[in-house]
Amino acid sequence: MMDAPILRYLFSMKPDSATLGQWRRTHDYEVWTHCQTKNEPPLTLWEAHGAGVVRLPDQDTLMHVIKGGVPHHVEQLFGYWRACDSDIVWFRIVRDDRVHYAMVLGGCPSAYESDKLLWICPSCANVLQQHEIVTGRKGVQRFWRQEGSFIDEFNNPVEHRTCDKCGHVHPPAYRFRQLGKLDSSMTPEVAW
Amino acid sequence: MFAQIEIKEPIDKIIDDWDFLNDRVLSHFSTFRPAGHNIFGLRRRFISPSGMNDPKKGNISSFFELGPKGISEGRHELLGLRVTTAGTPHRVAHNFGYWHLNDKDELYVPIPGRSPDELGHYVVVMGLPRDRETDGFAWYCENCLTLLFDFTIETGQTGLAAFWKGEREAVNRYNADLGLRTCPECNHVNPRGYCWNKAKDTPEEAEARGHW
Repeated sequence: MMDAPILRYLFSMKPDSATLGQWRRTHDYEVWTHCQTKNEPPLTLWEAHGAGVVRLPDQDTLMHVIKGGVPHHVEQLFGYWRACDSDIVWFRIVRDDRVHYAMVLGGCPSAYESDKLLWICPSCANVLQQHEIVTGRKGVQRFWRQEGSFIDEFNNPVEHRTCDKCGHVHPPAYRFRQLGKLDSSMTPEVAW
Repeated sequence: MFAQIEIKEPIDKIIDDWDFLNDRVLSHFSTFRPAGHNIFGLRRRFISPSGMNDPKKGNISSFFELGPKGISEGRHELLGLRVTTAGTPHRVAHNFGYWHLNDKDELYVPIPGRSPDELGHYVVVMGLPRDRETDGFAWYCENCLTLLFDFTIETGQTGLAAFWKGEREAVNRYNADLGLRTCPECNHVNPRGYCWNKAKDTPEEAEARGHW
């Protein structure tokens, strides 16, 4: 007897996938996938450690675990640093002329109680702003609901983005991007 | 943008095991090992559109899930993150000879090599069992799907090491009793079970591995 399962979750990193660019939820995980050409700006992962930041190499094959609580940022993808209670697994796979990415958040839903958005001065590493989102049972949905308001608060007025230690003006923040979709306000030059 | 605050030390000195697919790190996950909130299993296999070949186990392209409407067979999709949801009995033919049931989602990522003759990576991710969460080993009649035998361990309490001991105990008990393998509904005599680790197969288990 062969039949389709009750729930089939398949989130492909291939270019023809219908779920590319979307966060999709399973019981224990939130999964995001993306695919782009080699010519497009890379989605480079950064982590903050102590008083500095570390750039993860844009290797052809990379699987990195962002440990819960470690602030991280992905160039071109979201304009803030995020420190999530939950571990996140990051994949970067280059095959043929395509670069495939995936993020897998979760594994232990009960350990995911809060998420943080923060901005780090690129000149002196001072934390300019930090906001905590208590995610609780709503999980990551609560994060996406509040992400925009914290970004607005950071962007305006410009004083909010100006480092009170060194005077550096941080570029405007932006939301998690729907890459590949029409997004005329967001050129690669704007997305840091 | 962050050049001024980028730490100049080698990344290995800042972040341990920063690339799980690096051969040095990967060898630590050749079975399963917890890291943070998850358990990881990392395998080197030939992975292509035509299937998945394990250097030790051969063709293990087909996986099965058991639902209310019966058995569903699937094949791995390259660069597809597939999830078997918590509670779904599942197995991989010729890889482990029982239906595995657990309380956590399992996520699989088949990553092909950069060329057809290069080994790819097969990644398994599942949440670390906590509290009263369990792993189970079960056998259903291959003829009529009647449950024949199941064995459950509270891996949330006992830790991952107990999984392998439990697996061996479950397989031994099932194989030792012909009555367990004989379906009470249709009288079909089912093949023996076998463990994930092929190196520990008895001759009878090796024969069963070849069968299902």
